[in-house]
Amino acid sequence: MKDLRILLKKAMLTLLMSMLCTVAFSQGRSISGTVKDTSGEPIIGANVTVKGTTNGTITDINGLFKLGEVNSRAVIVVSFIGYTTQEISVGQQRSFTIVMKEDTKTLDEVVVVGYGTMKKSDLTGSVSSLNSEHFQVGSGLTAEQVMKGAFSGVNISQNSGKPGGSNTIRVRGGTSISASNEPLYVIDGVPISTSAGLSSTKLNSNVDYFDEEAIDPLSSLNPDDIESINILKDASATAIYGSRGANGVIMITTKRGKAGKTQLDYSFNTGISNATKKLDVLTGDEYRSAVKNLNLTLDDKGDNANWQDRIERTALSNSHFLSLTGGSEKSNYRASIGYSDQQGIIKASDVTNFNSRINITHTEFDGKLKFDLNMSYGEQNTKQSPISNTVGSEMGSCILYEAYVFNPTYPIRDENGEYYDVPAYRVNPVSYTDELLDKRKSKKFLGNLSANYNFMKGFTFQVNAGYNTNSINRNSYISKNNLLGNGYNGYVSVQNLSDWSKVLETILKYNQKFGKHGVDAMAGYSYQYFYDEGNHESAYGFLSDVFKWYSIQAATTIETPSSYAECNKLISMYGRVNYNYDDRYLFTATLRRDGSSRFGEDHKWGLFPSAAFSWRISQEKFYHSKVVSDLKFRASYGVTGSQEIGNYNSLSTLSASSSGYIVGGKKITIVLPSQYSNPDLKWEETAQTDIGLDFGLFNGRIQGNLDWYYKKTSDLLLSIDVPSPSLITKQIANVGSVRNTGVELALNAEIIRAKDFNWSANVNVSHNSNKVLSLQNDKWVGKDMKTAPCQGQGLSGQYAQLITPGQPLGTFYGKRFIGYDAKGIEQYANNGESEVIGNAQPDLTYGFGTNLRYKRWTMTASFHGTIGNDIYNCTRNNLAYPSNLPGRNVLKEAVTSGVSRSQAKIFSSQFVEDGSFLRLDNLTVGYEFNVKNTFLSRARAFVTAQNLFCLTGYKGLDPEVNSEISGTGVAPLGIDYLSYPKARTFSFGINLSF
Amino acid sequence: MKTNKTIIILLSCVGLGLLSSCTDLDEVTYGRLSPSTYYQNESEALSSVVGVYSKMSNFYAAGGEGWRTGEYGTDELFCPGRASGGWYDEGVDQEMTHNCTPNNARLNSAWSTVFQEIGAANAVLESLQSSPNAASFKAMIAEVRALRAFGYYRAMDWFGNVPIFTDARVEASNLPKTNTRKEVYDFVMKEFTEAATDLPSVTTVNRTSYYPRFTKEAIYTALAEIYLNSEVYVAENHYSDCLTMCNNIINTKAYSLQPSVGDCFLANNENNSEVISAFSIDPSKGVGGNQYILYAQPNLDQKKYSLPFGPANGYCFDDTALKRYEAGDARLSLLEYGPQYYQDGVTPLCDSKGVQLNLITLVDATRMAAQDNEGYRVLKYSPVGATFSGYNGNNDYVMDRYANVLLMKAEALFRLNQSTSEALALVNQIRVRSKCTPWTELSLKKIEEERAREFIWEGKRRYDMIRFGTYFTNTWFFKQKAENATSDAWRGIYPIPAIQMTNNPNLTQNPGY
Repeated sequence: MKDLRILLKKAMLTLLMSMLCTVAFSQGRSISGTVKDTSGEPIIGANVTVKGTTNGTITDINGLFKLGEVNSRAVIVVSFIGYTTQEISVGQQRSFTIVMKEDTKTLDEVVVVGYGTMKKSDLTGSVSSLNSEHFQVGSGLTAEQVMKGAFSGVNISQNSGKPGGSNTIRVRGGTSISASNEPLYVIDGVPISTSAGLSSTKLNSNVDYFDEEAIDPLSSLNPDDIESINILKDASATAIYGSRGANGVIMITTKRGKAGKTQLDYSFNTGISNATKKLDVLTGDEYRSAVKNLNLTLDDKGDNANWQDRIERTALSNSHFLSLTGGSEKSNYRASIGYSDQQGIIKASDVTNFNSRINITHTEFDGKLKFDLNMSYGEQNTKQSPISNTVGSEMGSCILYEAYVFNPTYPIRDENGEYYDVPAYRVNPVSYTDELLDKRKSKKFLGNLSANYNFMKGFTFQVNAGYNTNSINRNSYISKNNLLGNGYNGYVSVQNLSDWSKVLETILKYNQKFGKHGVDAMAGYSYQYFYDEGNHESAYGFLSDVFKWYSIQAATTIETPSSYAECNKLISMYGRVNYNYDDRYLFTATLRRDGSSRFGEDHKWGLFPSAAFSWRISQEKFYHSKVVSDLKFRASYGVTGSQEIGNYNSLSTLSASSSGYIVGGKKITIVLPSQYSNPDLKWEETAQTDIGLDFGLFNGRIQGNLDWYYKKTSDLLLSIDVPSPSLITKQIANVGSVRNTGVELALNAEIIRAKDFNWSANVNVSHNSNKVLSLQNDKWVGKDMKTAPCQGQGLSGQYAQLITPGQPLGTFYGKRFIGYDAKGIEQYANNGESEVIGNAQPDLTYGFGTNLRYKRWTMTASFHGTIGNDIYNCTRNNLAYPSNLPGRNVLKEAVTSGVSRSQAKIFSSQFVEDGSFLRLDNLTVGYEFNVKNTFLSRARAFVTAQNLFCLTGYKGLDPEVNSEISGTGVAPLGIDYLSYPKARTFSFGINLSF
Repeated sequence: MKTNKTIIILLSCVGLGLLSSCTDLDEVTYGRLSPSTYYQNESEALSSVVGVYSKMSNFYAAGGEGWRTGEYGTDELFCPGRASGGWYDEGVDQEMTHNCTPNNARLNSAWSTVFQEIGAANAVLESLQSSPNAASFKAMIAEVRALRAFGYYRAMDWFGNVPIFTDARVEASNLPKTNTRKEVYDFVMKEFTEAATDLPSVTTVNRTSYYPRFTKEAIYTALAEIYLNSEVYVAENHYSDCLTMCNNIINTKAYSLQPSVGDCFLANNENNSEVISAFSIDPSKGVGGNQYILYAQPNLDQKKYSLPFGPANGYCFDDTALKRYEAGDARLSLLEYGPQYYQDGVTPLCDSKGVQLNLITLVDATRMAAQDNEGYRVLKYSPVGATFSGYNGNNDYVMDRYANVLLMKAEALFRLNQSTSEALALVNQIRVRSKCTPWTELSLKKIEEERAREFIWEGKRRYDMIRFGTYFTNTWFFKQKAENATSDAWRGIYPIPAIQMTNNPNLTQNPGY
């Protein structure tokens, strides 16, 4: 009995003690430790969090961390970019020494492909990617400027220097003639439409002074929100997008939240810009003597002006960006707001951008069920300079045109303070800045919700729903007393366009490894609906300029308004299988079946297959190279399509026009056929073969890709001239084929990687050869298609480019100039017969960049350029002739080259110049401050120079130019006519993290 | 597990449901009509017929290549480049010096203007004729046939050997082929004659509510004109047919000469007693715009007529045409020449420097840099009383007027050697109306000159000059300085534009080009 009692007592005591201990142990206590790399160096800024909670911190300059309230059952997660994440059970330990191993990051790097992600090592297709580490946060650039020169095979050129302007992006050469060459943009898995905004370009043929560039489709995307950009280039990667993948796919993924400590980031940037170059027109004094020497009447007001100086200014810009990330392992979020205000270097032009974004991720069932919600809203307000690229007739004009041709002996205002004009046509350039208004407001909303459920081992079911809406509001006004208004007494144009699209996708994925075999498959269905509508009102005759577009009812005459609406649908089924044997042999096959309402009755559905194979030679047992540490061979073939053919082009329709006819004093609306049916209308089809080599040298210190590709696009959509007599002069049909073939090389090297000094560099070079193979099908024969109409008084009716089999797209075709005769008349080869005189396609495009870090200082520089492309300098073609005098000013060469006054303006090889260039896009020097013991977790300051210099022989303002002279919203390649000058910007910025 | 199984079944049901319901790719159109359902009644048919009228009104616009293709190359319309800037155009220069090449952009534009109208007529005609209500559209079908015949008449006059094509759609398998001028002539005559039988006469319609649609008499005027020019077109003598047509019109007694030529061209010229056919213009309602003032007048006319815009100082003529008028001719009031005054006739019209505008004859030899005051102007479409929207006036375009019928009859009689006294009386009617002294005898040269005085800038001079032969033999300012002072006979028709021949290999070029 006594023993039992003692036993019980002991037992209870032990139980009590252990309970106490358990209680004591299970309460939170603090832990600390050091995080180092394999060489013993401390890792600064590594994330240390308690798994499943928000309890976290980052390591300091000595790699030390301290965490409180840590349960002994907890697991701490240690992570840092470039190193493998580690998870360590806390248990009884209080002090930790954690050694982090480097990620051979490029091989395990994950790239985003269509409908999923893949490890780079498993890729069988050609994908170029860029991660956010390479982006300068807060640098005030647009998404396209960030991409410039960074990808092999992708040629991005700004169409002009206009703030908020659009870009021409070509992935492996352009293939389409009448359809768009734009790649497909997929933002967070939602393919967005890029045709919105094209309608706002053409206002009215009576008021062609206004800007005609389309809106940048990525204008609401703040580059500071971008996590990665992946460009899918070959058929194996793009065929999964079927009838939209032919021009390449640009996949943009935005930043997600991160588990751990809540982090607040703020960036600020401010800069000044100036024009880089001005055209060499005659000054007032030179004009005076030139006109006198030619014995012409001189209209002299005594001044000695340079009108380009008078309309340009030093522009200021600033931008702010704020982002908040946080969350736990289970759910995390990222919210961001950005605002930027950028003035244009031409007075009274500027653009302000506002964008906001929230990305939320939530997981349940231990990560088996995952929800992603992304929403973004952006607004862009531009005050546009009236720069028209189609100024042609006597009565047409725009601010840049006047700046070049207006009489340089005139002061800006007369003695009454009124603007000096020279009736009937010459309008004071400075008057455009306050008497012509053109405001465009563009709003974009993009939202998508996706749910992923891993319901069984290896199987995941995903549902995506996306919604995207854009609205554009463009208001333009010509003041009462401006000469351009010529009788209108105040002219207003109001244009509203909106479009929205919704997408619903359901995807089933399967991913499983069976010993050496791995299968990763998916099958899906997608339904996407696009709708757009617009209306346009114009009116004139106002009592006062106050009314503008705010009170259209105050106008004496309201022109007939117009409106339209369109929709189209896209339904697809698709599937992909990736088979991986022993990480050495990889096979991919994809198939997509697309149906689009745009195609004709007989061709509504199309099939787009692809197959690829890749062999990781370096994984083979027989492979023993130390130098070439990684070697992979890839080959792929596939068929993709392009359906950018506009809506309803296969139907026969009548439409009502806004003009009418009066019978017996009453107006009757005119209804006439507007289009004939083409039931054969189908998508453009591109078949692409790609052979590539991915390699890594010196254990990944240098890696690169080398690709050769061959693309043939057939069933080209062509807007063919219907021969007379036909009421409908153009018909869209699938006619002809184009081929692109080329080689791309990209290299990345980490040249030096030491404790205090890092130096890495990258270079990419591509060569693309483009050729039109044929322009005929069994029904139509197109031979020589003249495109790119020359603009400018005296040049209209001439065409600069020719599309013909055997020559590439963008071929310049005209007379070959050989010199002047004794009388100053132009002489041409072969009696003035036209021949091929140049080509807008480059022989080589390249980009290279370098990144240096020394202790706390960093320097990055990026260059890009082209070799061998030609540019038609239409501005020079207009201004290099003395026949313009005395009514219009001319370039200096008009009086020095010896050309006669009776020589009419002719398009010839004289004005097709070499557009090769090398540009230093971006040079940034930054400094990381030591923020130990402050409330900040990071502080960095930097100065940036953009467009510091551009080496080129081109005589125009800038060799990167694509002026929209066709009036369709899609600019032809390589034409320069009254392009907005490019700016050089110096800016200063800071990045702060709290 | 049970939960998993349920979820799988649920999800696959959803998936299957979606798959089966969403494969519908039918296009939904908004606001677009289909030709298979339109044309059910007269007002729907009329909406397309007026579309063809609207296209034909382009043949008379001041800008564009309709009207001026019938005037460039004559001795009464020039458009030189101006020293102050603008207006010089290589295509126009070729036309003025009789040196056209197939690459002439202006001629291609003229071709497109004409054949667009023909194409519209073909399309509308096909729709009307295949409609179940075709029987009630008889008169409108005749109108459209007449409209198409007008287009072919212009094409035959300017280009000679053009393709006759009457289908609405041009297919690659069925491209138009060139027809000879004679074939086109025969087609035009047949279409006009047959259309005229179904059209109402001016005596039977309510002129106010029917204006400006074609009446029989409008077609007869066109027929008379073509018959008069038949020797040029097909080397056949049809002057007696011309006489018949003129008499058809005169005998209706529905038309009479206005007190002044200018009355026909005023802004309120609807239902004028002299105008036989015209085209509606009213820019405030979105129906075209009369831009003659804009294109031709000197800039200072803005002050003279209190215009809301400054005219652009383009078209002009010189002493060759001015010297044809005798002193006292009332038609001189429609011309601007010499020192310019405000409408009161007394106050000098001066520029900002105080220098009075004095319009002189053309001097510039290069044709590229004429001074602003070189060249006289015609002011037929008067801005007085017109309502301007921007620079568009609302004067209707006049296609033909009664004065032409009288002069055509006089010429026909003269050429037939019949009743020269009646011919003389007719010509004198025109002369007396314009306060000129009546003649006592006639000659072809006199008839030509009277026509030139009466119809200056009305689009008739080119075929008149060709008919009288002066197009080829006369030399006037621009032609003297050009490479060929006299023109070859084959220059009587223009070349088929090269772009048209590239688009349609079935076309053959005209001789000489």
